[in-house]
Amino acid sequence: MSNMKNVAGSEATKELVLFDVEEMLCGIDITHVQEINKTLDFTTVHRAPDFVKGVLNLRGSIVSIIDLRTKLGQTTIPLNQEMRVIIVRYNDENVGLLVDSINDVIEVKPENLDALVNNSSKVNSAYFTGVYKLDEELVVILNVEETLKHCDRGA
Amino acid sequence: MSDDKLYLYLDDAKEQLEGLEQNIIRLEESPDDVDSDLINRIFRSIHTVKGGAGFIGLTQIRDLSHAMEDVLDKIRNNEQSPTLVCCNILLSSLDMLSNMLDSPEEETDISGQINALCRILVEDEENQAKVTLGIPDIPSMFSISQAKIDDYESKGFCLYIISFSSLHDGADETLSHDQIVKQLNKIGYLLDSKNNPDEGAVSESPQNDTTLYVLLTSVLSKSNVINYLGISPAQVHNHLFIEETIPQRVTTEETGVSETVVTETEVTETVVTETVAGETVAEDAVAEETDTENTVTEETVAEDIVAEKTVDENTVTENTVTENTVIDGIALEQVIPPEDQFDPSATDLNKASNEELDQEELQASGLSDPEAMQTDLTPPIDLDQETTPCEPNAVAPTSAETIVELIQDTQEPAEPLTPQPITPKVVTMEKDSALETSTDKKGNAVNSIRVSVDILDSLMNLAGELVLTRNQLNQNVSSWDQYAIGVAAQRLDSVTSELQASIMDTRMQPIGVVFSKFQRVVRDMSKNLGKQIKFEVEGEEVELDKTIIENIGDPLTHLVRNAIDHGLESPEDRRRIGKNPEGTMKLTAQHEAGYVLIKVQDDGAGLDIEKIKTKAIEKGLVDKSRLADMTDKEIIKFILEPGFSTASKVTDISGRGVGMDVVFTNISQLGGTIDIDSTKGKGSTFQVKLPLTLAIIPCLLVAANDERYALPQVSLVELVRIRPAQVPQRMERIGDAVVVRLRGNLLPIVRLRDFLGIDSAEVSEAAFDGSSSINIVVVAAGDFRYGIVVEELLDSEEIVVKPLGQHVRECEGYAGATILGDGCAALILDVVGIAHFMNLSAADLEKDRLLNNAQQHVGDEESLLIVENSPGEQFAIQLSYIHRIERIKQDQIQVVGNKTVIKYRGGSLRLYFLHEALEVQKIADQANLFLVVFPLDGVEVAIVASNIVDIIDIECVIDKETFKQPGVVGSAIISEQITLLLDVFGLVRSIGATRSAQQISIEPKVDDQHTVLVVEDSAFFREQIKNLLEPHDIKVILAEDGEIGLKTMRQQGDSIDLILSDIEMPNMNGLEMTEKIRTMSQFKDVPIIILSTVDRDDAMVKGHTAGVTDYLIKMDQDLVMETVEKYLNHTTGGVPYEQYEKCGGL
Repeated sequence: MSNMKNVAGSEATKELVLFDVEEMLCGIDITHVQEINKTLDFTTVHRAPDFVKGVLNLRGSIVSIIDLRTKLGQTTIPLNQEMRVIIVRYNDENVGLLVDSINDVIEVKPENLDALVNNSSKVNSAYFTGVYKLDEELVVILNVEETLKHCDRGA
Repeated sequence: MSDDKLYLYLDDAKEQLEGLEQNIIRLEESPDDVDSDLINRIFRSIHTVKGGAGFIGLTQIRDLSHAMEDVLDKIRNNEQSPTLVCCNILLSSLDMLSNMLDSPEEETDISGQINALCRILVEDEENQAKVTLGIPDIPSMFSISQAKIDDYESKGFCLYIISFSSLHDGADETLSHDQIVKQLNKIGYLLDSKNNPDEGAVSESPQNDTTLYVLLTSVLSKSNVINYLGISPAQVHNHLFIEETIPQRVTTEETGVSETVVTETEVTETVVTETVAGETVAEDAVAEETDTENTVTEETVAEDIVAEKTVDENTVTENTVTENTVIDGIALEQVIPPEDQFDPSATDLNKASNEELDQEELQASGLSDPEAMQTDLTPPIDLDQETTPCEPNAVAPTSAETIVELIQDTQEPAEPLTPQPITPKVVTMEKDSALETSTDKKGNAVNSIRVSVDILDSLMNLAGELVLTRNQLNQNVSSWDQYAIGVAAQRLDSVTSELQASIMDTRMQPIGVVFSKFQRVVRDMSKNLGKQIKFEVEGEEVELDKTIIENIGDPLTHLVRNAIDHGLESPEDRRRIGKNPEGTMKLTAQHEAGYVLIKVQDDGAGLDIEKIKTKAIEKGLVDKSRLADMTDKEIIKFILEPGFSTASKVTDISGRGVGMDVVFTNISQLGGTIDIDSTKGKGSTFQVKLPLTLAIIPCLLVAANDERYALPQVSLVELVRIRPAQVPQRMERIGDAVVVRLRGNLLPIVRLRDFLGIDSAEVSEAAFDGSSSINIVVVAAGDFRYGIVVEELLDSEEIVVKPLGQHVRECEGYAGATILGDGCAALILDVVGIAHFMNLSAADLEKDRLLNNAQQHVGDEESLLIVENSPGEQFAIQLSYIHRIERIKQDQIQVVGNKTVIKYRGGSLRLYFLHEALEVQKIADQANLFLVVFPLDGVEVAIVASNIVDIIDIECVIDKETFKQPGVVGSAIISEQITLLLDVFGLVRSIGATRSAQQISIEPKVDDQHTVLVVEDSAFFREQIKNLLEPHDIKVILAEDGEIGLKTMRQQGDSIDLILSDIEMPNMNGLEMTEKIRTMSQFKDVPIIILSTVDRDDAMVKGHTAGVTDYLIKMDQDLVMETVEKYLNHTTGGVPYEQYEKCGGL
């Protein structure tokens, strides 16, 4: 929920990184993002939770890759060239979020922010902090803490 | 103030304190018989700490250690015995001291502690009251025992307090603080020092930061001291004694020297030097002060304070003007040889001293006449009455009130000098100065490490090598010299490995560092809880990485405390249940398979499983039905859950339910595991398993499903490859488990693919159908061994262990990840985790193994090579005969004449096939064959086998009859298959080896057969030798060991012509038997030939002394035969055995 507050209540300009996960357009506060990576050369970790796509060598440190499709309850697809890994900082370690593609980086206008309306039974609303209205579509803002926290005990 | 110096001191002081605890505890153990070495060691350490603290300005540490030192001194002089109370106080002081060293910036209230220490003294020495010394504005600056003062007084020493002001920004370093100390030590003894902020002084002279006070005792008069040091008279204060804070008298000067004091002072000197080496902070202060300005901040106490005051103020002005003088004075000191220092003749000079006396003159006129000094000082004469109003010998004890008044008087006129008590001020100042740098300091103090110079040297050397190699590489790369690059790369490889090893060495520390503190924990707790505890420590020398050592202390402390508090019962309880009232607490460390095992064992009550169950349900951790299925071990694991405590009452030591989960977390963070074993009423064992280092480990890379995994080399035992044809025969199923037969043992097998969950059950069922060969990596998880089936064995590599992210950390079976040469991540397998996950256990197999062993019966243990001639035809060859095994291609075999040979090592090797001698099948055509190479008559020959099955150590029953034929010793059942034991020599001979010397001719004995006694414990060898001898018409009597051999000799010794004996035998060895036989006069001439596999000179010498005739290597049958022949032929002539020695010997 802290995200919401950050985004909504701050005077300073906030930016969102927009990305696609299946049909959803998601956003993530840019302050969470360490980098966006093209490398998809994951090492599979068998017997890990199903949303863990594998691990990746990120300049000498091992980063777990979370498949957001699986995590958000959607069907997983094979890796393709469009896919990107968003490296975020969580609990003092880097975690990679595998997304279908990176869409844009936008500046947030506070008036366009809205609370989340839970109308999608498909998606666990706990993973989102709110909605951001673009001209044509809606962006759901990802709650990084919540998304990653639930994985702790192997879901 | 330099932080570096402070941290150097702190490090050094902490090092001094190391081990003190145990020493004090040891002291306490024998209060009546104090080990002087021990107490001296303790004393020295505390003294060093104190000395340094004084100079650095850590007054609290200094005061506390000083008080401790006083107590220790008493103990040392046998005036105080190290009683329990006394040691308790010492230990708590020690704790406080080390806390203060850990955080010097923090204010600690030490007064209680010091009082406690003083009480020890007071109880013992009412008359030895403490005296505080001071100057008017700081009445209680130094504290010294009355006895000491009396001692000095009686020996004619004067006490002075000299102040040196330091300049905050003074940069002149020409006169360092150690020079000052040296100077001081030349004219007297430096008793104590104190770094003292004085606000008054600061305002008086803005540059002043601190003032250093030293307590000096000297035979010199005040003016002499002033002259010698080249300081202003105002800086020197005659001491003021205030006994028990009540000013009692003003003492002045005494003279005389004593040896005791000298010793005392030597200690002080040492301290001073050490401190100097540490480049303490005070150094700057002193140096700057002396070099630049002698700003006077203190007043001398005198009877006529007011007068004195005026004088002092004058001096202040004068002195600031006379910098040169001061510097001259120093120059002077450097010129004067030490012997001349105590130059007293300066009578005149002393007088002059107050009026800006020229130091050059001082040197010239005075400092060369020791006798004058003597005379001057014996009746102490005050030569500087003008400045020092206190009369020598005018030991006129003034009343307390007077002094107090006087002090106040002094302080009031001297405006800036506020009469504040000193301690709080010091503390504040310290705090400030330390705070400025506290963060930096913390980092410094924690992160430094002591490394032996040897390791540093080797690092330096290797760094040099590295540079050279780089140069070499650069050069070769630019010239593209492929070969040279290879050479350089190889060198780089070895330098890197060595460098790595050396660097790792610097990080390794013995676990004893951690263990040592438990002595104290156990002691304190046993006293507190009234429990009797025998504390044992083992394996202190086991080394672990520094990071682990630093972090393992807390969890271990928890375990130890828990064990004492909850585990061990009270002596009464123990007695009631028939246990030794003294409980045992054991702390051990040992290496195991690349890990370090630390065990905390107690023989107390053990964990109460029922209680844990109840609690677990209460806490909602588990429901009843699941609990019923859980093993005790699993139930015990609940205590690792947060907030779980079974202690019914909470003590101040443990039982609040925080702890075990913290222990668990801490240990997990270190990459370790914890295992708990507990038997109710018998005690518990907490076993912590830690990796040696967290950094770099050698690994074997294996692959399954085209994914690479790293297996730590430390858990690796061996690699086994099973050919497709053998798979059905060697792999078996016992219940659900797949096992493989390996050297007579059953080894549980896990497919890596199964562990990874890649294959479905059907696929893995069908995995061992013999369609492909199987690679098994045999690993050890603790005592338990099992095999992991992998698809490929790749390479051995040193890998850097990287932790896994939190989302995959929970997966059992992975120890981390690493990055391979190509930049890909690979997972590291954890063999313990895999075994656990796959539910492997040795228990199921144990029965089967026992059964297996039972079948094999007790016999002689042999190392046998098992080979196959053609499928199903198994043969065994004694391993000790074999030189090596070669693998060849069938087409390499050539037939020359009627001999089969192969080109081999530049010559030819004669090959023998088993079918040539035995009724076995000819080896079928196959690409590869194996040669079993062994020596015969000095040249190597080989037997051809189609397959090498195994090497086993086996005790087997040899059936000598069923398959008796030349070249076969007998048969045995090995791995449930009938196996012929080959006599390779007999075999080769029977095939038709030709050897001229083969024609052994033994002259027949006139009346009878020759009889040879063969004493040999190995049935195999016995048979071999028998087979060897019997064809030559020799009667062979067999004996299984020396005892039976001796018995045989006693019974039928007359008929025996020669003895062949092994050395190593049960019951009685060959040499003993020989000695015994030689004692029987009728047998002193019987040749005794030792057959041994031990080819060593010393064994031969021993043999000779025992009376052995000859010494042969067992394996060489021909030599044995020749020797037997030689001796038997001689025996008919009855030559005494001494003469055989000439022909004997190898």
